[in-house]
Amino acid sequence: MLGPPPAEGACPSCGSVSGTVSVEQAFIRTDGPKHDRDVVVMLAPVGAEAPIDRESHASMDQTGLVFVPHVLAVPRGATVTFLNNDKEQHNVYFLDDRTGDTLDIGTWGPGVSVDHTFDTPGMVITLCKLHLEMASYVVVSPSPWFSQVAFETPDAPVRFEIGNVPAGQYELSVWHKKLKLKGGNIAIDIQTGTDSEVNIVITKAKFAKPSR
Amino acid sequence: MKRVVLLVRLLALSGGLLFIFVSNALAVPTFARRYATSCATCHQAYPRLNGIGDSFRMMGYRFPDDERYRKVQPVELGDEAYKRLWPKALWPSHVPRQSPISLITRFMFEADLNGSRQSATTFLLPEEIELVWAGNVGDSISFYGDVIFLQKDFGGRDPESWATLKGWLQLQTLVGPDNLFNLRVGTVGTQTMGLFTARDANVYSTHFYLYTTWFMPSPNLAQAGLSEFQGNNFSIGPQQGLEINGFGKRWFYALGVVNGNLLVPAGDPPPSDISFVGAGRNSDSKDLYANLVYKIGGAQFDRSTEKQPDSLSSLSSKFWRDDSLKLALFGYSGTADIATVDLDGNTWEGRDDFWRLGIGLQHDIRDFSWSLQYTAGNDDRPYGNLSDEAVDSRTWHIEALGFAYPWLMLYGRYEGLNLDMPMDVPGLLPDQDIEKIIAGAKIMLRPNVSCNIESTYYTEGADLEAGLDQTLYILLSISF
Repeated sequence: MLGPPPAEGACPSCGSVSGTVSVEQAFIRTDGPKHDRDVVVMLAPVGAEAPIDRESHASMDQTGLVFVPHVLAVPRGATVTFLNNDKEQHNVYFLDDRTGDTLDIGTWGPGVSVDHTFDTPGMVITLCKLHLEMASYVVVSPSPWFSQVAFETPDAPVRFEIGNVPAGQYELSVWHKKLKLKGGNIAIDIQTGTDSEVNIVITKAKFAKPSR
Repeated sequence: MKRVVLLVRLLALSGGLLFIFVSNALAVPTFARRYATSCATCHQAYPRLNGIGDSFRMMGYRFPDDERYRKVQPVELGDEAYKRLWPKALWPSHVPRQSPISLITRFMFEADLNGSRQSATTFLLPEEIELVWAGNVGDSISFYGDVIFLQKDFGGRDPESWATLKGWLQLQTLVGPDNLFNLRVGTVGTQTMGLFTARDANVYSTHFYLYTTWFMPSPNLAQAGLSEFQGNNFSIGPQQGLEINGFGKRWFYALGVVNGNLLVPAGDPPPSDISFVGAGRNSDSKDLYANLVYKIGGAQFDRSTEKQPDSLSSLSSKFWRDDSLKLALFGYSGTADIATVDLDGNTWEGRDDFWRLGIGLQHDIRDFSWSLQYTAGNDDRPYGNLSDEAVDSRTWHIEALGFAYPWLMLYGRYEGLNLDMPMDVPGLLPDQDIEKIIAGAKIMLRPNVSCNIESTYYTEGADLEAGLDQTLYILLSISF
């Protein structure tokens, strides 16, 4: 296992990775409560397990019959507080994207919140059984080294940056609600004091398969 | 209404054919609202669809990459994730955010050019008011319906009015690959009953095609010694039933099963003021139809390998052009109940097994389009115990149209019907052949306001179609 994530700016032996994310042969909706603008870029160390970040904490509100934010990226081990900010009851119901397993963590009234810890990397769809249109996405990064960015417009690329990454071999993966990383996951060699530039393209699944 | 029925009876008494307009709502402006785009995105000149419009219709009122173009998002009735939870959860759906209803109003002026009508000029203002609803719920169900209030004069002095209703629901991609098996339920055949290359729903003229509007003539009851005659009311038009359809890049098919045994022919004045189009008597047998199309060149039906434009407005340059050759085949096989009641009250009941088979082509070259149609048919015993002779039928047409300007189309059609009528049926005219020319201009005053100026000229059989020969029609239509 690698060591715990270093504090911001306090890792002389670390490197970074940055670049752009652009969309190809697809359309993303950047407006509305259930937009497609969020992208999560994640690193997973090769041949080692990343540290679990038990200190990380985030929150997701249920307000106006909408989960806010629509996409929430957290490191493995993080705790998320689900707060009912409406004047009626809400439910929180998870659907694990990888396994299809479901978990109902309960129904509660206005002003009440419930914490849940996400220990398994992957994506969990968050639903409300009382309001079927409500949905959000909790993206659990396999490591503390990830970046969540959002498109401002459907066409303009966005920049991402993941800093303070210990030197070593990593696999870069990308999550988007509808699109896939073109060509599949990318192997990255992070070197001390250097920034690795990676330009990422996301597209429809049928266009994303690696060419042979 | 009584006068219409009287007119129908009078024509039946004359032993002649009867051709009456069937009405279809032929534009859906609610889609212009949904995408904030012009009618010209999908129509050459409404109702005629261009290649993009045909694809949009076939795909269940969706564009490829539909979200890219929608300006009004539908209301979700459940998140997409619930599809993965089915059957433990409701399958999600959508409803249109804005009203799916469109309105079309048609105003008709008719002028008698040869003194064959009862009045020199006729105002049908309005001639039709159409309420149309169409849209989709989710990505796999589309729907259509209309209520059409009509006012027609049939060449007489007094106009008559009634209302018709249609409705269908389509499940897109019922099973298998995308768009291969779509199931439609309801008033089927609006676009698929008849040749794809000669669709009434795609017509430029104010008159529908002869091959879709004729039906087997009835004998003069008195001369035939009958008090009642129930003949074969079939004409090629929408009916109530089920249809499977599907399409790929270049081909389209539809297979349908319908009730047949039409109570009244499509477009015939109904027995009541409000009626459902294509209603038939239920019986042990059902009728079948098939429709095949192959398209060479032009926009793909599924547009699956075409690069999608960033916006719909970029589609609109030369929106009427779709350089292509379409080949079409249509077949129908049915059985109609035939019954006669003589003056002594004796009843005879039997069946007429019949079929129609048509071929067609449509060639679009830049600003010009021409098409051909030939349909043959056979009725094995359409006159029951009055005659055991079969009746062969043949219809044909050649049609051409051209765009002089984006807003001005000139069109012409020469069409004919030939029937081998039995010679032994009393009270039935042996010569029922018709040939006629329709010529006109369509002027798009606005993308959603059109004006037709059109006239008909019969070279044969003018007496068989009441008040249509050498009549000038001016039709004004607005859709919103």
